[in-house]
Amino acid sequence: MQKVNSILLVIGLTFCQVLSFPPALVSAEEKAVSTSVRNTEQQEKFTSDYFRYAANGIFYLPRHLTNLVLLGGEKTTATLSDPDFIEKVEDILYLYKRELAWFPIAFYSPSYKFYYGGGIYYSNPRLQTLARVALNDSDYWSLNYKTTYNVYMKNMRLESSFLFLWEKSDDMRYYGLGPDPKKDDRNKFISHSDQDYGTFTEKRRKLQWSTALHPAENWGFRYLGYYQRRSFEDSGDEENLRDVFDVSTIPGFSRGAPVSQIYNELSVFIDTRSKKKIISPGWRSEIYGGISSGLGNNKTNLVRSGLDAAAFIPVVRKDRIITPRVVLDWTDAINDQPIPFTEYPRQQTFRGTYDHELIRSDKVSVVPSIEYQWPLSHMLSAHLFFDYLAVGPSLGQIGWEDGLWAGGFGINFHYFDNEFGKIEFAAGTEGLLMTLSFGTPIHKNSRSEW
Amino acid sequence: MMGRPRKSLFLKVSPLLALIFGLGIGGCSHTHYTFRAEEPVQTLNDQRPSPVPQKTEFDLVEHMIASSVRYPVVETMDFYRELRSQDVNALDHVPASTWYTPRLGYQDVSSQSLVRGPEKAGPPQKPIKVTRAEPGQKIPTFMIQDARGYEYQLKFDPPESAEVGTAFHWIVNQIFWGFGYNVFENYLFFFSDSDIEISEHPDVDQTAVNFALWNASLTDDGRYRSIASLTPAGTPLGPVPARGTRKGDLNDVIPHENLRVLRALKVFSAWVNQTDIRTDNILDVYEGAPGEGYTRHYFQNFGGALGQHGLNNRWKWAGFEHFFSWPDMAKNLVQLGIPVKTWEKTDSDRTDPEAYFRADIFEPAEWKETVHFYPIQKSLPDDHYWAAKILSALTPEHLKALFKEVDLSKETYQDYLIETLLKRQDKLVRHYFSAVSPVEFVDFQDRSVMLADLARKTFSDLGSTAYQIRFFDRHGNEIAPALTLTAGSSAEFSVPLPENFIDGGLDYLRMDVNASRNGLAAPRNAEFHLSKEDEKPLLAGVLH
Repeated sequence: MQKVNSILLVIGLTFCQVLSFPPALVSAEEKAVSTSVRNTEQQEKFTSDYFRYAANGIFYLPRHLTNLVLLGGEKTTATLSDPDFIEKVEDILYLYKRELAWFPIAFYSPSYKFYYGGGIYYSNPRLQTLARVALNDSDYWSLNYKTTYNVYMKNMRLESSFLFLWEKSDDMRYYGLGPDPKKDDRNKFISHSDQDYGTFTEKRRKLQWSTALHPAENWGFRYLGYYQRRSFEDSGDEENLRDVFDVSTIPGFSRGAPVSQIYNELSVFIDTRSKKKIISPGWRSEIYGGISSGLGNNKTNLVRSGLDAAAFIPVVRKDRIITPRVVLDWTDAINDQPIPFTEYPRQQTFRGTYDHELIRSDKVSVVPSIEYQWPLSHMLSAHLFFDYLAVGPSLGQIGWEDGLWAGGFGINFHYFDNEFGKIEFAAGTEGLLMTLSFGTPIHKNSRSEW
Repeated sequence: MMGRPRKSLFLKVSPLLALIFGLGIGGCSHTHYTFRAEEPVQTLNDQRPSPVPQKTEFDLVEHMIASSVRYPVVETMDFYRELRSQDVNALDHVPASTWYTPRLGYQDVSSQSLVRGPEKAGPPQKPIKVTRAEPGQKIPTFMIQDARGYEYQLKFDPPESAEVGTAFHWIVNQIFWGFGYNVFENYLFFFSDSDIEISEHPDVDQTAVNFALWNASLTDDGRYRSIASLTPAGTPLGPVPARGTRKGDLNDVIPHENLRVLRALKVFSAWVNQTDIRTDNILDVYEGAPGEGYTRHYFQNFGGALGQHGLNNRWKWAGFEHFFSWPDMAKNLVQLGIPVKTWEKTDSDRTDPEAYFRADIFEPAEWKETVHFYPIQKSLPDDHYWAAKILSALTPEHLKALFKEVDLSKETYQDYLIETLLKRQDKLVRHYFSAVSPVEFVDFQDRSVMLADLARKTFSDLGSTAYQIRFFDRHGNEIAPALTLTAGSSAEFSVPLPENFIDGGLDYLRMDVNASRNGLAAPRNAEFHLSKEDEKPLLAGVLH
């Protein structure tokens, strides 16, 4: 019976098509003109035309709906990119000349939270200043102020910046110390909890200053210093830190007690690529070393160092690039105090987890990765990647066998020589992950955000 | 209790299978065109009085998204077969219309007349006065009025293309006029500061004029070099719609994607590498008093041809790839970018203009306009063949005459361009002639019909050629044994007509001719439909 129904449906739709398009392929007026121009008695016909009408009947609704949806997107994009529209928006956003503007913030994060806020931005060729506030509906807010000043001297550039940050984040996750925290004696999990991690709320205040000297386009030195004060609270979730861990075994954790520090760092960086904002042939490296001095009840003095090295090797053509990369970070106390758990290296380049997760914490962290990127069209490229994350109490004790991995695929959006966003799918030891980001730096590894 | 039997997978998908089967098998059964025994239409009746039609505007972003994203997606759900062009007469030619005037390929177009092109008013007469100049243009341009009161648009070379921008614009403009299109009267125009008056008028942005003159390329004697386009008389209606018709235009009945004059741009544009085909480069102008006039269609802005569009954007892929294409993207995704494309293999300098206009790596079938142009996407081999016939009528003398007029300072570049154009012409004509049976009617003889093989007429190196000829009545019944003729030394050949058509009662004959080269049959037949008038055979229709 269902088969008969299906056949009747096809016949019915065919009939509708034939009725709605009497001469089938062209309008009556067009047919009349073309018949008279060609002097035809009869136009050519194929038996398949009837099946084509039927197919068109079946797809009538999806075709028109798809058209409407895409047309809507097309009109919206056209309106948004209309210079008049842009000018009107700019008129609303700019407060003074074309230098001082306010801007709204609204984005949907990969962790399924909606963030909103606003800010003020000032820019001229030498000075850029930004102040913004952002929050989501439940567990995050931040105040951020950054100013950057550039001085140009012949081929040299001196870039100085100052940053103030005040933020509260409720959804931080700590997994414990070591390559395999569940087996590591340094952690003490509460026996009735089967959670791998505990959540906590972090409040952070930071003043940061930096100066970078670029003697040439491709290399330079940077001095970075900051004062940072962190405090922790229970997240209020069922799996908050004290429900999962014996907090006395969590170094540096003390309810409400702030951990303050002063950090000073020197780094040298080199980047031989001609285009820095998209993947292009060359190599890039950065080596850093810094000292953190504890303040107040934080008696820990730390040393930090590491390197981030990547080669962008063209294969086949210069826009098909294999990128082997290694990010190594090391920290250790230079007195007998324990290192606070928040001060261990974080692995922002590991793409198998979200960056609010302290997925692996130990003195040494290594993230080797390999990526292959190739062009899809003139605004799109694709990449395949494999990341590995291993940590250990020292370089010789890295738990390679307990490492985390993630492999995946992504599509990068770029406009000429600027990458402005990407969508990425990863699968690995931490499960499946999809991230969509626009306007964020590529493969960020900013220690200033630790 | 027995449950309801589950529907088998076959039953579930059977309607779909029937549909696919029908689409495949149904195509085999074919009812052919039949033609009336009437004089072929030589002029389209598209100059009837019409109210002033609706104006259109161009939005580049909208155009790009519609052409590259929306249309291709929606068309995956459209199963109609591609239609033959609807603006074609019984002899497979395009009649004269507000789009087209038969020139090259239909009449003797001398080099001098190609150089003159659409000239009527002639170049601007000095002194000239600036009447409109708008700020913020990438390629500087402004409007002038000459000493006689004629309005021209002055365009200058883009900064990257001193001299050649204006030169190529003019050359390709004249060539498209030769192909039969309506183009503006364009003139290379040289003037000095003393020839120009910049009026203080709200429509004249002084900065824009100064910017244009500051960036203009200069001749050896210090004059500004420009191209002057005479504004056609009438009301500009905006860019021609790439799909469908213009609303309110009573003469615009055939959707533009079904116009051979627009589909043929696949061949003409490929030849000169005019990758920047956009609807805003075809301007509709309403000519005549409101309610009494009609719309004429003008092709303009050829400054991106001969590789300039690619050069100005540093797009070495221009002509080889679309800006965005779903199938290409899917292919690149699956292939992981491993295959190296032909254009990528060239190691020429990105600033070398010759890199953007080549013959060696040019493949006619693979040529692509930057943003999909809808009529081109709908074009069929008979459209390409028609264009290739016209293109083959253009001679080296035509090209030399045109280049002589612009007198490029780099003589070697000029020679390179002519040589490249001729090589690309050869490749295009060969390719599109081989996609059909390029056979044309010549005349009736006593009891036979004389046909000519255009490919053999044009090229002497085609190898052995044979013609398979079959005869049908108006209902598609084969009415005489098939013939196979081997080509002799001449490109023309005579086909004896069946007795039952010459002497019998048969009043209609369809003759299918397939030209095979070196044993390989042509993908399409040429069809000759013969009728009778006063018992004498008459050519009623031709299809390729």
